[in-house]
Amino acid sequence: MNTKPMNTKPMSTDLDVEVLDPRHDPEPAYWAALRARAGLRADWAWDMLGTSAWLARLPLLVAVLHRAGAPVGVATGTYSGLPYHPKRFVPVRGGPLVGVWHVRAPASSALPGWWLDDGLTVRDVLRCRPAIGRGCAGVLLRQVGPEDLAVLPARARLVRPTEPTWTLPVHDVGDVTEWIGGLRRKRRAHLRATWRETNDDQRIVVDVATASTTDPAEVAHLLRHNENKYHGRFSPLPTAAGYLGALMRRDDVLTVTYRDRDTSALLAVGVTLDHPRWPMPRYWSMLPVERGGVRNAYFHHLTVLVDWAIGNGKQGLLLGKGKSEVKESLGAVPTEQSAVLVVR
Amino acid sequence: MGTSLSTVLWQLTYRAVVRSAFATVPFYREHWALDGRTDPVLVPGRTGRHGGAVDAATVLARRADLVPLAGGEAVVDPLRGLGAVLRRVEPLRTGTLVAVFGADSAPVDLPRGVRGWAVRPDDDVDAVLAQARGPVVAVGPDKQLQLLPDRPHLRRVPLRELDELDRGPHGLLVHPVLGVLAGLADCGRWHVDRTALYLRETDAGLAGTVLRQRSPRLVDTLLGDERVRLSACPRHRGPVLTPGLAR
Repeated sequence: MNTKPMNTKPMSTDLDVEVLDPRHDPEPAYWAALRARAGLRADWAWDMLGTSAWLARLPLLVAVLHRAGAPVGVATGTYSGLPYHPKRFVPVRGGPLVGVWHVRAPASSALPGWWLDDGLTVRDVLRCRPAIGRGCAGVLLRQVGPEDLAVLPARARLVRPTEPTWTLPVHDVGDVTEWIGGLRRKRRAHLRATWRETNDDQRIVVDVATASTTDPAEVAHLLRHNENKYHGRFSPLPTAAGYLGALMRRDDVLTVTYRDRDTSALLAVGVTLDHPRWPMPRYWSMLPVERGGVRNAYFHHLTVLVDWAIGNGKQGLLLGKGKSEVKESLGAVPTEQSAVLVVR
Repeated sequence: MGTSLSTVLWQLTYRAVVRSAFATVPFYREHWALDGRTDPVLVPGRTGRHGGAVDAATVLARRADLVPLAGGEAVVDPLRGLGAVLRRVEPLRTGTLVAVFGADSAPVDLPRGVRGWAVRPDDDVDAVLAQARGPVVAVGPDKQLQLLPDRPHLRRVPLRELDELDRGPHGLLVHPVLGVLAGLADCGRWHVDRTALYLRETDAGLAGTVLRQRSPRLVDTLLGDERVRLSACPRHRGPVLTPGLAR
């Protein structure tokens, strides 16, 4: 097991905390097994965490909980605070002088940033705070569900409801036609028309494949269209082709591509992180329709993924946050979420 | 290149550009953080391949990641710096027309009073030249310049590539990513515009950095011809490019 005396703090209980910086620390020997056991997607692979951490504004830190020398829980988050430079990457060493540990999944704001073995609760994540940094004044937990909220300390906390996350169960439908048939009338008609028209469109070629068959630079270029639409001071940084390249080389990542049949130009793309039960569409972007994009490609892409998920025996798809009305119309189910700040 | 004050300032400017690119530009951040670089080393222990320099094809493929976090253009101008280098090798008096063949847009860095014209394939070049009242400097590939009619105030400045360093007597040296690298001066040597471009030796040949372009940021792009050498002009002192022997 990889333990580092400087970063490891014994706790008052039988748990030890090990804090790792994926930019500088080598992959712990237990990491691959821990990730598999916890069902953490490709963006939790150690090399992906390292790339994410280098391409972040703030230090990304991973805290591992150990019991009797074995890892029993993990949490990841950025050490967010001041000084903050929105247009600069994190310095090679050091970080905020004062701040909070902002716990969330490494490349997605839609999932919790922790996994805990049986017998542990999210309250145990709070034990990591002293090891994060001297100026760390608290822990900000994102995507806290009602059950987790109940175990957090009632005092010294601030709770704010956030957008729900949406899951689209498909385990109880036989095929994509049955799934579409179970939707409300208006969406049903729309999806049937989109499915038929896009499949019959001789101008484009739709391909579902392991992501390594797609050029990440091409995908990054296309993602800029979507990222520019939602750009703001605190919005996530643009997705770098290098990060995508490392992600897309992995076996457990999938792309749905829409290409011009004549020129092979990439018109739209979706990148999905696979999972034994709940794959997650992570990136989506398309050329605007007026510049040659495919009308309704987003809906066709989701239908393709539903078809793929049913065919591969998945429970369903994690659709993340946002576009609630659209996701509800597709049969997705919301899960209420809160952000909780616990100060020391 | 020696240790004159101007050379030291040139190197300091380059190092500032490197550090800024590492702090703000996704491509260099990722490449130098994960692989490393030299001169300067940014992450202790990581020195990378070719001192952190990258080939032109990779740079072009990753141009979306050459835009700093603050935003900017991702378009690489293959004739960047044309005006600045041209004025060092050709007298550009007020009223001169600079006609550029093969450019998408007219050069923006010409001296005041000098007009630029990006010649399109369907432009009536003869008519424009006939109407020109002042001198005309035509810049472009040799083949296109040879088709131009002879006129008393027309001067031709061919664009050369790195494997044509031994050709003269006029010309501008161009690179597909870095733009205009150098101009052939009256001493017969290819002079680099060091206010805009820094050149550095690596084990894969020279690598160039555009010093004053915010976006897309171009740092340590390999020239692609390992025979080309950087030396000092004995007459003018500035940095010049010379054809060297193959390694």
